[in-house]
Amino acid sequence: MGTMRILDETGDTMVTWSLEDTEALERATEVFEAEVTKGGLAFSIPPGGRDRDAERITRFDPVAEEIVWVRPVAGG
Amino acid sequence: MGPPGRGRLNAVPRRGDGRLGPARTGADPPAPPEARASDRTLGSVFEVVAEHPDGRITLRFTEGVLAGRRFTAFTDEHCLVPYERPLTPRDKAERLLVSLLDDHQRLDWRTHRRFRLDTPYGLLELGALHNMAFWPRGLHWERGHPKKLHLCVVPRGDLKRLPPADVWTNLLLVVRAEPERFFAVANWRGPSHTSWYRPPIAGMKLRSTLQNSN
Repeated sequence: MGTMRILDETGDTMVTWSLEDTEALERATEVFEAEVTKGGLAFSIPPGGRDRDAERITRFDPVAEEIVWVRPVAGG
Repeated sequence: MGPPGRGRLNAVPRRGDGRLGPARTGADPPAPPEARASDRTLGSVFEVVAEHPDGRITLRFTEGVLAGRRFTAFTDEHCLVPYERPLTPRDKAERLLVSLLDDHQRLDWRTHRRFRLDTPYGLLELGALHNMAFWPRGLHWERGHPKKLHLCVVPRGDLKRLPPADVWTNLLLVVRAEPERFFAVANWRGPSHTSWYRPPIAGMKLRSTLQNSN
């Protein structure tokens, strides 16, 4: 089962899916595409992984265990 | 006989004869073991008439003084489940950030609310918004340049809408996975300067590499 976390004012909004659940999988893909459109940055983190294991992804990976969405950065 | 009412207070249902009798006195013959056991289980015969999705059950007593009464309550199993306070946004953000840190960083974060990480451009300390300490190193950093800088990089959008730990998770993931992106936008200043400079630090590395190759 995969989990997508979108950082927001609630801490994060979670979207989960499993390969067997077609509906949840489609929903997760839609959310991913919507976040791409918004300009978010997605990072795939393996189970138990640390920050150094994070990998930037630009396409939805159904087998990813955890995807964290963050905002793009700018000079302050 | 004892004082009035005492006998009634001590009256218990008896299995077998179905009568309520006065309190036994010392003259009464001892009750058989099964009768004593039934005295202690006053009104305990019941049947489960419903099991609810939240873990409660509804009982209906079929014997004793509570016969016919219904009660709904949690089972022992559910009563023993410890209550967990719902996580606040700050709690959730904190958990996510801590899960990404190694032991040393975690200790630093919990004690100083800051932690350091190595980047291709130098050592960076996350934790002070708009004023991150940075110790540049490598070929790109020429002699005479300050040994310590302060950087200002933030997630785009309204920062007040993100819990503090989420801000650092955001910056941590970007600088880890795409340091070029992070340092390309970083405003910086020397420790003794108050004004910020816009030239990207990542660009300085490229220039320095070109200079070294010539």
